[in-house]
Amino acid sequence: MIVLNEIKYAEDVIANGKIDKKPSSTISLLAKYYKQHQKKSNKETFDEINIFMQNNYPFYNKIKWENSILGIIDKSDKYKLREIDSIEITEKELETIKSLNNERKERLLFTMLCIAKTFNKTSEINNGWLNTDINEIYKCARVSVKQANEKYLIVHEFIKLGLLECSNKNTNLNLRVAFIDNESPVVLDIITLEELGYEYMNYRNKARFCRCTVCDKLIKVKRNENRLYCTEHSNKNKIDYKMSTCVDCGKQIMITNLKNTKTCRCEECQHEETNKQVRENMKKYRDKSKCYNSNEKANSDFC
Amino acid sequence: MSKNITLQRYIYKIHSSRIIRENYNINMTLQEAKDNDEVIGISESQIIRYIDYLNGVDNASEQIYDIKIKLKKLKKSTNIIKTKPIIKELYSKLDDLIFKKDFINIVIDKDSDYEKLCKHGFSINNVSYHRLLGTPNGVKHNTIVFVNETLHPSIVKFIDNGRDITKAFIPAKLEAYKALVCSSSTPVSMPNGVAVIRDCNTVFNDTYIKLDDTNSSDPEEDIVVNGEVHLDNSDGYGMAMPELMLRWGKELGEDFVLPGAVIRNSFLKGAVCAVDFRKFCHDHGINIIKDVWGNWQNIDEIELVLTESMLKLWDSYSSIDDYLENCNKNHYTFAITKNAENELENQRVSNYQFLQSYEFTDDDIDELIAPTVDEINDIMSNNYIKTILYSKGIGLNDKNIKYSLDGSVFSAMIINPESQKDPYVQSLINSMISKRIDRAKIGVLNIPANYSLVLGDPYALCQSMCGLEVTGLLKAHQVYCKYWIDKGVSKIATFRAPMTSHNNIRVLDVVSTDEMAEFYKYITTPTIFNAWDMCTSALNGMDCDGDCVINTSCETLIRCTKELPAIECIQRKAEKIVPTDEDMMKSNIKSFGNAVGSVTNKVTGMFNVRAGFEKDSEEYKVLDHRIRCGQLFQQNAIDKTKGIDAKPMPTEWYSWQATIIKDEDDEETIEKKMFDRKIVSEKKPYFMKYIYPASKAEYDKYIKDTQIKCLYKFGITLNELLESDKRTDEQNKFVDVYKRRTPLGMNACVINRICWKIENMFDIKLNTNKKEFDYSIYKNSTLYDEKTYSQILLIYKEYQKKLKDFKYESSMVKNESYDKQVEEYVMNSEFKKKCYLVCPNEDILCNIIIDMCYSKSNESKKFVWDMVGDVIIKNMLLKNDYVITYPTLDDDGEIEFHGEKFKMKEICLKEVFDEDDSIE
Repeated sequence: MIVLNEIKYAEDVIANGKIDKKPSSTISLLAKYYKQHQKKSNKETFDEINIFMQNNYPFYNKIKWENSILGIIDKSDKYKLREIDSIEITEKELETIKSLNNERKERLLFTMLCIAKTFNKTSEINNGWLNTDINEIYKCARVSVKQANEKYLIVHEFIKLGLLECSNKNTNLNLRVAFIDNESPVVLDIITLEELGYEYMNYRNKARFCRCTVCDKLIKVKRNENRLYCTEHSNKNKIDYKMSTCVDCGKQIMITNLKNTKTCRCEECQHEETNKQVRENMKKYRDKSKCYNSNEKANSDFC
Repeated sequence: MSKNITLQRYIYKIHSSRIIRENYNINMTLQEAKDNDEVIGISESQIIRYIDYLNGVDNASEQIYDIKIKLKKLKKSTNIIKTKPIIKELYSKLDDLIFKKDFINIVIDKDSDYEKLCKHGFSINNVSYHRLLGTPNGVKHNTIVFVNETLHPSIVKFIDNGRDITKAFIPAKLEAYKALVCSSSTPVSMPNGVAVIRDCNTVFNDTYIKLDDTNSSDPEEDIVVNGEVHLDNSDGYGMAMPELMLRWGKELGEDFVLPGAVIRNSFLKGAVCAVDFRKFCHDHGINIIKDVWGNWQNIDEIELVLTESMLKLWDSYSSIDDYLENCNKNHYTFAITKNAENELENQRVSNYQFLQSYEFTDDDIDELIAPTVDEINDIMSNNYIKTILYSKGIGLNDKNIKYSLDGSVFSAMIINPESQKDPYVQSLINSMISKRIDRAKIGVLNIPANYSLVLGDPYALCQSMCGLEVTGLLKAHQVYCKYWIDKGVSKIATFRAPMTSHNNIRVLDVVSTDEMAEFYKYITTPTIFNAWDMCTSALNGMDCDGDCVINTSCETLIRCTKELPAIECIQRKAEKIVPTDEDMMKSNIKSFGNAVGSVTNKVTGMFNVRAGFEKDSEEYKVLDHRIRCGQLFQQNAIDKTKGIDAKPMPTEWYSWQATIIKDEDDEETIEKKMFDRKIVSEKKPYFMKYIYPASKAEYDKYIKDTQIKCLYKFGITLNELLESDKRTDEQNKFVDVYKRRTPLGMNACVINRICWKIENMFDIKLNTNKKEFDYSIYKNSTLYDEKTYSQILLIYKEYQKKLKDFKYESSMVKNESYDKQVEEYVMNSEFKKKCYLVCPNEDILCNIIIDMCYSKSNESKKFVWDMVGDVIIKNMLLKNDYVITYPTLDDDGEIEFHGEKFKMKEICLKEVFDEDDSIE
């Protein structure tokens, strides 16, 4: 996933304990954040990431992850943390897109344009190139195809029209958006790169959309529907386990039943605690019976 | 050869970088180490037994066995409240016995780490460790053995075994000799009399190719016609009286005279074969023999004859009595690592190394692959009986059927054929079929062959021992192997890995005379090589210290084998010194890494390049020479591990970069570089994508990316472009670059041709037929509570995560790595233990796991079979009243498989299982 403002995104990841499907992507983002933004040393960065993973990644094992995390930290200075507020789309660019006269293709080209302009903002020498996987572009543009080859044939069409260019190397699938025009007046500001297809449809008033109040992502809604959150930020988002910390030894514990609010110890500590309680109860019981017996005895003596 | 099953012990295996990061002091529990994958299984060896002795542990194996029996019984008990703490305690006792904290393996990540660890020292759980040695195999993988510092002096004394420590040695060789104490072995009784004799050396004339890289990086190749050859025909083997081999056999649980065995003792490594050498001596009127120290020994008081090449440090002792006395003092015993079996198998599989040097026609290939293709078709026929025969082997009978009923899904199919409807069984069968197809693509083809222990001619050794003229019973190009004699085969082709060129293949005459039949009568399965030809050199420097060869009677292979002279490579020797600890350390560092595999792969690449040239061309001839030199560079790579400075393969042979023309190059250099560039072997051949997952991924990505780019650029598919005869210049350039830049070699070398044939034959997608399956056939009638269920669920979640990681890590390494199999075994044992600690009753646990995984289609069924497969088999047997039906060999049978006929046979195993008290 391409993120415009990686600082904001990293802070969100830390606050909410979000881990990507590929944990290494999250680690890479955090490494860049701690080293470049927080100016922490390699060791401090490792410690921060280690704590983050311990708290949020089930079955995290420091020893097994150590080398990978250190490797990622070593490379984290290579790419600068992206901090872009918005991508400006100009009038002429939108006109070029509109000229395709096909909504699916327009969405796709618009998505490519936005991603290329993001990369241009990240690197001055980028010159319109994008190396994003074509499947991710289609997903982001909300364009689906019936046959796999159709995906590439549409790109071929764009190349033939001179809207895109491809590299000379046989196996290099990078594409260059050839119609970027920064001179023309800005007519649209893109603040998030998620759902670029919807962004275009929203701009063209092709459907009704709401923006998630947490992440600014566009959500397609029915005519009378109003939503405040996207799927990710709504309460419906289900997970089948939760992590907690043992109140006695501090070990991370995994709880499979989400309704379980009682478990606060790991198995070993809970076992000890139960034994302790049993002992205390027994002691209380014995003291009570001792007291009772002695009273009884005293009574009988008295008698 | 059958390897003796020894008990697995666990030790730490930790990376040096981790120890240094933790400031040379690690504190962790055994469980944490297991979770970190820092515990590995090793087999029992002399050193482990000695550490047990030092720790006052008597009969560790028996104690472990007893605990396992107790655990097995306790798991059957329904009184789980009572058994739970006992099981926990027993598991902890088992851990104490199995886990050896005094012996650890350290993986050296950087050379400097090694020095730091040795100088600084380090401790784990407050136990300090000291460097002991590097085993040859360990050093190849940058792994060094460290031991508890307090035990170190005793262990060093034990390993040195009273040898003369002032004697000079090549450090790496001494290290390898010392490391013999780490060989997996089973102790056996002391022979009644041991003698060490001189080796049996013969001299004869033969024609061979001499390779010498002393003067240039490109080895000089000379053909020596009828040159004098000196051969040590007894290199690494000795003889044992049949009664000793029978006694040792019984001690190992066999009921026959061991035809041959690979033995170990202090500084002793080699094979022995069963020969009545006393009778030979008596027949020749000899009663005494001279041993290697010049002492005379009475032959009637000798039960075991060793040779000087077996007892590596014989000259560090004054006599055999001195050696044996030291062995006794230091608690050494004779031990067996593996022994020759009583019968040899009828079928083996070839591999690409054996086949790649042949010049097969298409018909030859069809003939060669036919048995394998038939086998694949058989297992694809949806016949569950054939699936059983493939998975369990064709030799099922009343005696061994009980042992075949392990905790696998295929055992379930024998008991109840209904289990073939289990979607997991179907997916396993599919995966088994795909694996077999993929193996066939890399030249793993069924051939009539067997794997046999190698011996020299013991008759010649007896003659040499008695001081008689050495003639032997076998002449040049002859071989004795009872299996082939009984089959009436007169010619066999012999292979030994690793091999590179066609010169490494030998076709030999199988012979037998009455004298041979009588003298070799106990050597029923090993192969006896004659003392009068260069077979050992041809088979890539084979010796007799436990080496094995593959012998085949495959007609296609024998017909297509050309008789080529053996290759003799120049031998180098390192300097002998009295090595200190530091010398040993330096020698280890020099030996780190293993280049033999990489040299072999480069040579395989050369076969692929060679296939692109005409036979008479200069390029073909030069590549032929380079292929032959592969043996020399393999030898050099092995020498490197012995600490010898040997030359590596010239870079221009396998790297395109080395052929880049520089400004200062003269015309001659430019011409040579241009030539080298044409024949550079930098790509693995296409078929290797089925061996190396990384090569497959690279190739698949290349093809996919090119296909996409073709659609981007030209709007047509790659196939359309390749088939088009009206291509533009740009399209021609695209196609040209596509062909040149393929990451794998696509020339028509033999194995690529086999691979493509199999690909075309089995270009299918295997689907699972969704049938209704009632998984209650696996269950028993016990009930369980929700709490235990949720506790097991937690373990299952952890298992899933670990399995995912394990699969990912496995996908990075070469397919079917043995280490990965051991790792998976250790992982499963650990999860099994976790499950039983939560739920000590096997029946309850079985039902919980089955319900957990079989009630939902997307849950892992592997967990079920890994954890409670044995319980399921028990449940199914109970439900069937122990009556099962299995396929067995029968000439009148109606089921055909592997060219043999089978019949279904019913048997009741109730009595067998009632008696059963064996451990898993």
